[in-house]
Amino acid sequence: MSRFAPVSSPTLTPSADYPLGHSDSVDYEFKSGAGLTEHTVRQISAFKHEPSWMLNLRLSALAQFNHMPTPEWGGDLSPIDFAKIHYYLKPSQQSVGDWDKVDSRIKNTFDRIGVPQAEREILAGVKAQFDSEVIYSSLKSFLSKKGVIFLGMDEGLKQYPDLIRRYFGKLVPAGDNKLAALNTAVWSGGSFVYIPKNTRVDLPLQAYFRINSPNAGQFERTLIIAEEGSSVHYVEGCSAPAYSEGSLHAAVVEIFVKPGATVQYTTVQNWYKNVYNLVTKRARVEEEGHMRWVDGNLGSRLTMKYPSCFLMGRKATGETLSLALAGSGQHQDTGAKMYHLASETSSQILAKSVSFGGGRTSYRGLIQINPAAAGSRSKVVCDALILDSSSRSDTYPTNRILNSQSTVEHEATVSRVGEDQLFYLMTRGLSEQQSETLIVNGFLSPIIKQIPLEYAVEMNRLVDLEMEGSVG
Amino acid sequence: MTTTKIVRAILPREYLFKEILEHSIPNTSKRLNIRAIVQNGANLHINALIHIHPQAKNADSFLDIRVLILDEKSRADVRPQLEIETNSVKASHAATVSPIDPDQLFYLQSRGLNYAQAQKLIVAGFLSHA
Repeated sequence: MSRFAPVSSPTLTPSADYPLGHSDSVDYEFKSGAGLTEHTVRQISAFKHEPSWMLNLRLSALAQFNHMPTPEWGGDLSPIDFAKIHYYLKPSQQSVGDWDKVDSRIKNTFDRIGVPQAEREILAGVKAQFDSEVIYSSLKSFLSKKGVIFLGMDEGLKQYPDLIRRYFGKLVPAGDNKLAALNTAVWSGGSFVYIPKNTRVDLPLQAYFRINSPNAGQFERTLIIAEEGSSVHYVEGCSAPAYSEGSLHAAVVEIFVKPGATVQYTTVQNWYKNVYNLVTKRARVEEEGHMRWVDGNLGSRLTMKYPSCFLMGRKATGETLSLALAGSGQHQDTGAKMYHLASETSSQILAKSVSFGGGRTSYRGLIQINPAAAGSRSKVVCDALILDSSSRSDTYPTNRILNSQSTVEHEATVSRVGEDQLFYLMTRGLSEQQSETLIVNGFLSPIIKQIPLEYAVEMNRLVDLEMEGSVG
Repeated sequence: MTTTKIVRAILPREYLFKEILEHSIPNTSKRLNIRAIVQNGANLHINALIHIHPQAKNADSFLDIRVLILDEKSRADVRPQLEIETNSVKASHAATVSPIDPDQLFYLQSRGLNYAQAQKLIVAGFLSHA
C-alpha cells in the first residue's frame, strides 16, 4: 500500500441525524442482476432500444474495462467490488413533463432533500434523475423555440442519434481510464444539451441526480455542445440517501465549447458517506471560448475528480473553482487539469478545502503548457483549512512548462482557524461553534458566491450541518 | 532557518532536483528558496515536498520556487507538494515559471547594453535576490 493511502477507512453506518439519510421503497420496473457481464450490457442496450453502434461501443468498452487495472494512485479503491453492483435500474415511473403526475413517494423523497418546488417557475428546465432514469422533466417553451436541446441522454440518443454519434466518447474515450470504460459500457441517464449558434441561455439548466437503492451504481453520461458564440450555465446537484454498503458513482461529462462560446458547469455534490464518487469531466475549448467549472464536493467516502480543460484555440480560457469538505472517514481527492495547446491561452484554478474530524483533503492538479502555446498564462491558488489535529491536507500539483514564453504561478497555503479570530468573534457574543462555522463559511465564500443562489443557500446549510460538533 | 538553493540547468539534458522538508518534531521552522534557470535545451524537473508529521506541532514551513526559462528549447516541470498531518501549523508554498520580462530587457537595451549583457544582468539579479 502506498503511503498516500488513508490509514483507516471505517464503513459508516447511516446516522439518524443526517437529514438526507433516508431510503424510500420504490418499485423497480427493471433491475439488472448484480455484476457486470456481456449479457448485462446487451440487456441494458436492448432495453433502451439503442442503435447498434452504441451497443458495439458499449461492448468494446466492456472489454477494455476488464483488461484495465484499478488505479492505484490517489484514494484507496480496493474496497469496491465491481461484481456486487447493479448496473441498471429503471423505476416503474415513466418520464413525465408534469409535476402533478409524479409518484407521491418519489415526490416525498425530493421534498426531503429540498428540491424547491418554486424552482419550476423560476428555472428554465428541471431534470430530476431518480435512479437511472429521468422521471421528471419540464422545459419552458421559449428554450425549445431558440432551438436549445435539453434532454435526458437516453431520450437524446433516440431523437438525435447522428448528433450524439459525432460527439459521444470523442473527448473521453472508453480507453481513457478504467472508470471511463465502465461508464461507457453501462451508462444510463445524464443530460444532453445542445446550444445553437449565437444563442444565449440566461437561466441555468438544472439536473438533480439521486441514488436510491443499495448498490445502485449511477453511471450518467452528460454531453454538452455549445456552438459558436453561444452561452449556457448547467447545474447539477447530487444527493444520496444513506446505505451501509459502498455505492459507486462513476460519471462522464464531455463538453464542447466552440469558438467564442461560454459554458459554466456547476456541481454541488453531497453523496452519502459510503459512496465512491469517481468522475471524469473534460471540456474542449476552441478559439476565444471560455469554460468554467465550479465544483463543490461535500459528501461521499472518496471523491476522485479533476475537471479538465483542453484549450485548443487561440485565446481560449479555462477556469476551475473547486471546493472540498472532508469529515470523519472521508477523503476528497479533487483538483483540476489545464492543457494549454494553443497560443495566448489562459487558465485559473482556485481550490479551497476544509478537513475536520479525521478527514483528508487532497488537491491534485496539472498545468501543462505545450510548445505551441506561446504567450500562455496560468495561475493556481490552493487554500486548505485543517480544523483539528487528526485531519490531514495534501497538495500535489504538477506544472509542466514546455515553452519559454509562458508564465505559471502556483501558490498553496495550509492553515487552521486562528485563535485570535475565534477569540474576537466570541467576545462579540458568538459561541465557539458559531464562530468557527462563520470563519469556515467566510473562507469558502469566494466559491460559494459563484453558485446559483438556491444551491448556495443549500451549500451554506450543509457546511453548518457538517461542522456540527467538529470544534476540537 | 532560511536556505537558498540555486539550480543552473544549462546543458541539453534532463535535470532532476529533489528536496524534502520533513518536520517530525514540534516547534520547527524552515524557509527554503529555490532559484533555477534553464537554458540551452535543458529539461529541469523540480520535486519539492513539505511533509509535516502528526507530532510536529507549531511547525512553520515555507517553500518558494522560481524558475526562469531563458530560451525556446528549454523546459521545466515543477511539483511543489504539501503533506500536512496536523492542524497547528503554518505551511505554504509558491512556485512560478516564467520567461524574462521583455520590458526589463527593453529597458536595459535602451541604456546601451546588448541582448546578452542585459540577459546576464537580469539572471544575476534573479539568482541573488532570494
